[in-house]
Amino acid sequence: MKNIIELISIVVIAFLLVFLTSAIIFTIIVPFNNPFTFQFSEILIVIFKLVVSFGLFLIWIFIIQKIITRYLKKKLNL
Amino acid sequence: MNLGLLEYGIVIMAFVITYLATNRLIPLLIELKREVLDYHKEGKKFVAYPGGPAIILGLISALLVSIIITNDTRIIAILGVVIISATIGIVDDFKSLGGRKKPLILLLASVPIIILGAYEPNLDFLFFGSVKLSIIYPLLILVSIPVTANTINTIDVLNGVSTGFVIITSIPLLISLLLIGDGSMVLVTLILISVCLAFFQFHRYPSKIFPGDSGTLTLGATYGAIAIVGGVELIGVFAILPAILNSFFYLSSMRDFVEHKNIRVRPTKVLPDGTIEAESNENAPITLVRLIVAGNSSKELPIVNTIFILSIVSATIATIMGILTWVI
Repeated sequence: MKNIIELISIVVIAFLLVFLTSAIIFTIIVPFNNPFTFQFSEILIVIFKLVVSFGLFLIWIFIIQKIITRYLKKKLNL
Repeated sequence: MNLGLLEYGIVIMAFVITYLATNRLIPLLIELKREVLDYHKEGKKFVAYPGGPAIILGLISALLVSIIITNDTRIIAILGVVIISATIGIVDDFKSLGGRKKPLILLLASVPIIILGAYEPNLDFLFFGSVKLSIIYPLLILVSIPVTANTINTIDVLNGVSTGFVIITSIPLLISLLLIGDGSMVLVTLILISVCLAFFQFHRYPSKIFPGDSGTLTLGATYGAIAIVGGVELIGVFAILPAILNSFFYLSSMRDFVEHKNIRVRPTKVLPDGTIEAESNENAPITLVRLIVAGNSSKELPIVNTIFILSIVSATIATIMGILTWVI
């Protein structure tokens, strides 16, 4: 159980990231109201929401992958 | 909200049926030569497989009696999820569905919840507030059941892990549902814990039986269904975070839905004395077990205990979150 503290840290970091990302997506981005009145603005807002949500998801993936790769490289001397 | 003697009787019934069915199933499976190699043991040890039918029998019988007693349509939806996921799991046990087909077919298991409208499209985020997601919530349900089912299925690589994991991570759900005062869902969660406890007696290290895809998919789908129908979906997600991370690491390193048995380079190696060592090949998939044994080769039991410690940590975080959300 030598790695337990590091693994617990990974779980806690993952929790914080998942919590923040999902909270921002579902409580800020998804309910975001359309401030424009021009034609096709609804479609534009939906695309904007999708892009921002997907971007946040990609940032989460990037951070977690960085942490895991660094951890494995350190432990397995890759 | 108070559970009566009858409800406690159902919980005990679920335990007894699962225990007796598993006890009977082991010799039957051995007689039918339905055994698989326990990969992480020294020597060649074979274990009866699949034990899923005992889990399914325990769950279905207890849920049927619960429906009669409570008359709650939400339990009918959960029963629907159990039956569909169990059928997919049994088919997968006897004729492998393949890594890509399985999650797609599992979308069907979400349908009873959506058709019966057994959900509230609200998400309660601690500090961020509550949000109503009328349009995208059914889509989230559709994805959630395959995710939880596959998550529990993917983490089931060592003796006792899947059932032990579900027992630990169901406790935050139970506490949150008790705080909310949802008697029916408390009963269903207790049934799930009870069934897992009964099967765990045979599944724990050293295993006498493996649950198979029928067992793990059913347990995962039931867990997801309780979280959604009980309105404690966020608590459910955070509690099973180590298993979600395990699936995520696996998928992101393999870049495809590949079945464990079809992996070219295994994530770990088993030494002749039964010690499990992390694979240093860069092409090996990243899994939770590989992370645990990275630079720290271990026997199977300490690895199982480490997974349980991680699940206790995530379950504690989820419980604190549930309590704070309820208080605030």
